[in-house]
Amino acid sequence: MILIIGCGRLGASFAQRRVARGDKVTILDFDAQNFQALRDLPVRTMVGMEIDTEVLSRAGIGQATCVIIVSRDENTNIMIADLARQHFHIDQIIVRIDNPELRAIYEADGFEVISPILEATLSLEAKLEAMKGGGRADPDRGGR
Amino acid sequence: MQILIAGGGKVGLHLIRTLRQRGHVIGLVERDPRVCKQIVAEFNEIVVRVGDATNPALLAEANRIQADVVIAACGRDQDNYAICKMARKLFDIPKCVARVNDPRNETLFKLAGVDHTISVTTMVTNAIETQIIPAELTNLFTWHERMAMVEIELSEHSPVVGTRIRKLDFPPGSILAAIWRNNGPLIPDGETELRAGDEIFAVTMKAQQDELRRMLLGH
Repeated sequence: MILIIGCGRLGASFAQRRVARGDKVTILDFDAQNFQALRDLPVRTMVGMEIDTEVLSRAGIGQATCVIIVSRDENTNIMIADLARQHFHIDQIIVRIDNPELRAIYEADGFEVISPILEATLSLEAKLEAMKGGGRADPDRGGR
Repeated sequence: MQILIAGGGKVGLHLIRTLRQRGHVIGLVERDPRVCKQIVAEFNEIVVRVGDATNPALLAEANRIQADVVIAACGRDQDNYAICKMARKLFDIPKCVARVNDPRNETLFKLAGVDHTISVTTMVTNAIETQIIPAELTNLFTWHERMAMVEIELSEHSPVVGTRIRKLDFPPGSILAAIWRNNGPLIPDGETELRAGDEIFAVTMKAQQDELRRMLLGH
């Protein structure tokens, strides 16, 4: 089972893709409204404050093969990442952190980190550079 | 001391007044511009930055004072957690104190190297248990988390009234240190006979506290 924490656009879109590939997915968010995007999909949704060992236990974190922490609130994300590792002993954790300083701290601690804003910014830059270099950016290659 | 305060709103304001009186040097990052304005008006020497206290750039600017200790006083535990992480890993501030609202989070803060957590919830609960609910055993003080100083008031129903202290079978690690009797202190010895109305000041191990209460009060 994959446990996703945070059902914003990123969490919801990732959940959709994993379900389409046949994974079992549980997704946790403090706001039930955010599950609208997942109506009709075989995803287990759970409403709860995420920084709470009891809520995480009920969400089945003990059975999760990996935990994807992608809420929009990065301070919440880092705290859950440490909880998942220290309290629940999860090995596979991916955590969303946009603040570059915090990102560096968590990468140094061995977490897998994604930074959507930073990654999109770099991608934009690459496309812009490609345009300046003459002609359009290659749409298939995008940029990193 | 150089003290960096992160967030806290009005709590931060009162904290600063107290700490300034004691001569500490303060740096502050605070979101509420009204609080910041008031602090600048009262103490023009304080380094104040207005904005998100978890923003590393603002923290770095306020840390111009080269803090010995950071106090993370925001209303949300996760913000205080982020502040403490950065204080330790980015700014090498030797000591961290964090306000923690959910007492269950205290363990995680300790694991992250936070030296002291202050939980208002725990404080209020303790106050209720020790002061507001009249108890025959009051925990006055906990020392190194395992020892306790307690106060026990003997009623006429207590099984030990009329008994000399040396006849009592104390739980391990417990001693009666003083008795308040007839509006005055009394340092007891083995021959002292306990009376109804005695207020006993005892030192005990927390694990033996209930046993001590049962021995002295019978319940």
